[in-house]
Amino acid sequence: MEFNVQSLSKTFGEGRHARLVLKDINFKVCSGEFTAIVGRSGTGKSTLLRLLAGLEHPSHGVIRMDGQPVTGPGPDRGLVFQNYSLYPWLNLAQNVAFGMSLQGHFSRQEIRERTAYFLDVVGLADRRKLLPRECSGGMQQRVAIARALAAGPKVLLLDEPFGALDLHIRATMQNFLYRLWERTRLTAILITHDLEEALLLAQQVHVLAPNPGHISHTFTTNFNHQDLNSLRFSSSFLHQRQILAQAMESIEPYSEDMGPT
Amino acid sequence: MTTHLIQRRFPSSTLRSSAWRLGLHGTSLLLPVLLWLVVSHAQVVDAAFLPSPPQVMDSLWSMARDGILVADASASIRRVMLGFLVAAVVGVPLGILMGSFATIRALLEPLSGFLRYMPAAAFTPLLIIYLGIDEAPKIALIAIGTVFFNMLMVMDAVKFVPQELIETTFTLGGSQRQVVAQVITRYALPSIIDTLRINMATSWNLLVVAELLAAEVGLGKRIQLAQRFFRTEQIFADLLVLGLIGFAIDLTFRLLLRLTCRWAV
Ligand SMILES: Nc1ncnc2c1ncn2[C@@H]1O[C@H](COP(=O)(O)OP(=O)(O)OP(=O)(O)O)[C@@H](O)[C@H]1O
Ligand SMILES: [Mg+2]
Repeated sequence: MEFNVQSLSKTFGEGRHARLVLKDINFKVCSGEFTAIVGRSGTGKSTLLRLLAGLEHPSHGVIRMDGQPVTGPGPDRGLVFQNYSLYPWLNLAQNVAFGMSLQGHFSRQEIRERTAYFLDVVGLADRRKLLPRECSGGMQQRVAIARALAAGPKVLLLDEPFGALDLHIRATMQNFLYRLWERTRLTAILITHDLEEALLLAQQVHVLAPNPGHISHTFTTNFNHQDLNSLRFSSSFLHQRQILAQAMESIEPYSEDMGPT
Repeated sequence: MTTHLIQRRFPSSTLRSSAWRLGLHGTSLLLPVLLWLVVSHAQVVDAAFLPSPPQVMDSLWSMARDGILVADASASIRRVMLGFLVAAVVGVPLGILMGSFATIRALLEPLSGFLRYMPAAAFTPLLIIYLGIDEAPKIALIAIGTVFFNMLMVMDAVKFVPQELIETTFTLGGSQRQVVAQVITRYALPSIIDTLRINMATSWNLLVVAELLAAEVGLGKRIQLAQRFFRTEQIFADLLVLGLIGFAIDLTFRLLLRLTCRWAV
């Protein structure tokens, strides 16, 4: 599998109101790779992910998946939003199964087995009967990930999936996602503004610079992930984090809304 | 949904106890009856204008005994139900489509918004010319007076379906058709049921107008006849029956909501 983004640009609006949000984005993601895209608020991160998902159309350039241009949303690209977008009328197991039953080419037996498997993968096998509203944010987000994976995507797109969680749960979920990646070798593109999260999870980190959004830096990481919690405080990790922070600082030293008034 | 919203916005710890709630409900119904008893007993108002509760009960009983009450009520219920059904079968799907597709909305919203402001009763002469004086124009009047409210209110309900839920469904492999049928409609179902519950009252309001058209039987018709003969106790009795039927239907819708949408209540 190869996900290829070539000279991608996006303009919203027309004529006088036209606004260039993304300009000339190029990158490639190969099978089994975890890629992160970091950037400040409003740089166009969500827009980029929506383009990759096929929910927006590029103004210029192409997104190719195994050579085929992406023209709309499809089950080969799973998506997880920041806000838990579970179906409130379905219990957790039914939520996970929903995508498979929409697609129509899974047998009942397959749906049952895959649902059980992915609920187990996210550690919620014993909560399968709960409704989303009875679950914490972290649990809901794990279900959203299980649901996306169960539908059989080639790549998983995550838009600040843990942005609404508190710091502690966030760290737990990051560890969870890393172990999930290790286990399933899923191909993933993660949008985040949390540098630690990006470095911890991804092998490739792109920095999205604003006005208009473009990739200014790309880092590759190579850490020892045996113990994720001590990795966070290891000197090599903190050093890399500092380099990444400086890179972001260099593109936008002081943003206007943060400066003195 | 409206009532639940209020509960969520202004939670009352005492209202959680069902005995207390039942007490409040009882008070809201019994207090006016008590007041009525007192006023009619004190004979502040001429009994010809304000019949006493026993007089009304007598009238109710005699109408029931003669079979008038059942004939009137069943004729009226049938008209309202048929008109309401047509309005629901036409209005709900159109409302869902208008809420889901910008093109359909652009096509139908101005028209239905315009027609909604024409009083349905004003269509009566036309309906008689087109449909005669039997049941058809009465049912049509109720349907016309209800359908545009259904369309616009369901359309509004559909707007509250989170965009992310719809988009997630597309990325899970859902088709446009599946999104409309299995996600948008399902998510909006509690609001749709509530819309129907509210617009049921509109249908009942139109009944009396509909029965002005050469009806033989019907609760509205009986009220008009009673006025002609100055039978205020009969008017009171029929109003009471109208209220009870409406109340029962309202409860049925609430029950339906509870049964089908446990996740939302
Ligand atoms: N549909 C749209 N129409 C017009 N402008 C849009 C649209 N979607 C996004 N934008 C604009 O594009 C810019 C980038 O938005 P986007 O949501 O991609 O940023 P982001 O990096 O995800 O921000 P955040 O970190 O706050 O989520 C914003 O200025 C936004 O106003
Ligand atoms: Mg965003």
